[in-house]
Amino acid sequence: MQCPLKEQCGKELENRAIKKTRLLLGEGMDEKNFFDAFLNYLGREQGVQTMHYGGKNNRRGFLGLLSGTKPEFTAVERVAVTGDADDNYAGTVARIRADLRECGLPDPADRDFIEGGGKRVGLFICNRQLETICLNSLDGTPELICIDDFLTCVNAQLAEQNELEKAKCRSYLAYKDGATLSIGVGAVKGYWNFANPAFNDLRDFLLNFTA
Amino acid sequence: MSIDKFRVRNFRCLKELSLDGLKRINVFVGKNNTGKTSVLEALFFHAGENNPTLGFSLRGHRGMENQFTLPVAPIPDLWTDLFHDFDITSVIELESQDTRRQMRRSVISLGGPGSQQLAIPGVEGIKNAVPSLSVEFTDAQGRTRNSQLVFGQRGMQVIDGNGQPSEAAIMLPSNFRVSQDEDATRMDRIVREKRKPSVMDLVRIIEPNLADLALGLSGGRPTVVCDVGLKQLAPLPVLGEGTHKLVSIALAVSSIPNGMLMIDEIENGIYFDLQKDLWLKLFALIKRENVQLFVATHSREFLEALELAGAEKPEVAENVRLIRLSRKGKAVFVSEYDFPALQSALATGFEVR
Repeated sequence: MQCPLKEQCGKELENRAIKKTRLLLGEGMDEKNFFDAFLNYLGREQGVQTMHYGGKNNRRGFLGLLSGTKPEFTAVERVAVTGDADDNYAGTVARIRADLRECGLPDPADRDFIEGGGKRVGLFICNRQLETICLNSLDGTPELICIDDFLTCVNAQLAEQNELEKAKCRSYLAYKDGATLSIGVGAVKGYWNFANPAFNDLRDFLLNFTA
Repeated sequence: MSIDKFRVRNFRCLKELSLDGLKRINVFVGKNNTGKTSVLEALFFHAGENNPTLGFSLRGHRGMENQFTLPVAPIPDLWTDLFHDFDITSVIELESQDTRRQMRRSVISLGGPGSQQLAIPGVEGIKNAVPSLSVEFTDAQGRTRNSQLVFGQRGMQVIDGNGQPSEAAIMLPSNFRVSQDEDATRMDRIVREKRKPSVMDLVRIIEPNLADLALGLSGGRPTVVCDVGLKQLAPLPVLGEGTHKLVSIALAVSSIPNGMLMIDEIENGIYFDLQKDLWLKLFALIKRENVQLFVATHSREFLEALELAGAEKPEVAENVRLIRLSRKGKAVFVSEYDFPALQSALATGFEVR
């Protein structure tokens, strides 16, 4: 695992063990950094441990890892699982809920919380990707208009960019400081405006989780 | 016998511990002094059924005196370390459930029912005698047998029980160096049963030049000798530690078909780059002999090698259980993980050792 920011060094150690009673799970280190920044913005970071499950292929394993860890997981009161829908929203929701059930945890609907077995579990699936929400927050800005033009031009001339949302995010972040290419580090550096309505659903979810 | 549940009460540092979902390969991890070795010992004692002399084997594994001749001075504390918190009035209970849901139970106590505490010659009064170690074993058919280890005028005696080395389980303790005699005894059986190829297959991971294994004499005593391309066959003890270790492991597995093998700190002496192949070949061997494996390790490299082996051969992955022991105060906690959880731990940096 890389430590992407000097101020984030040591944060990756948070993934080594369960230390707190509220666990917020992101797909990867980038999402973990993003949620750290968002919680800081909301002033709700106290008592919450953000962790990452190493990509969607590791999600079931990580949930089993957490739920099997005694006595630490016994003391956990709240778990929030987040993930990207990519091109299959219904399938992603169904798979994550099945993963939760398999690990003996409650399986809420998307953007909902339910309680069971002494734990409150929430689920937030990003339509397409977390990058999609970030891009939505840039709607109508000169930066995004220019980036759209640029990538449209590139796509017309060369092979089509498959991960257009990621490419747009990286283009925006590269414009911001030239060294930052990940949305999580960009979030830590304050490049996303969390007050933008595009983040409302995610903000409500995090506020509910930390209430 | 392959077990999928095991329960321990009052044994060494373990007041109460339950294991569920055991597999063919069971890997114990955890910090020092969390009870990994104690669990292996409890399994070993239990698999030996009604054999109280295994208490002596455990003393030997721990580097404690395990040879006594009479007359001896009173040794009132001979068995105290077996009991949780050294409370010799408590009773050790070891219980397993096999894959056919059949239960087996061992109850170990000092001076149990029918105890025949005998005075040691020259020492007055029964209170000075070594207390007898009583083992009551209930087998899968519900039959109960009670045996005792006593010190009497004729030396150490096993009454109504089995005093022979266990044929159901072998324990290879930390930094083990199996004796020349033990290796030779197992080799003799393997040779007579024409099962050398499977042993050699495992050993070739570390010694690709191995052409043959045989029984020979060294210092007038039987010993395993190896053809590794030298002018003469080399006695096993003079080869490298890793080679000796693998031969001993292979001989042990092949000596206890349908039994259990416990290996403490299995990684010692094995070069890291060979560990994936070790897992693959060892799995093939224990599967062939229907042996259930219980190992303890502190090594991340060994866990990574297991993960690689499981990724390469799904049957390995399906047969792995990772068990982390941790301690808070006197309580020992058990965290049990399947193969995907092990993979996830290694991928995300979550610490399971």
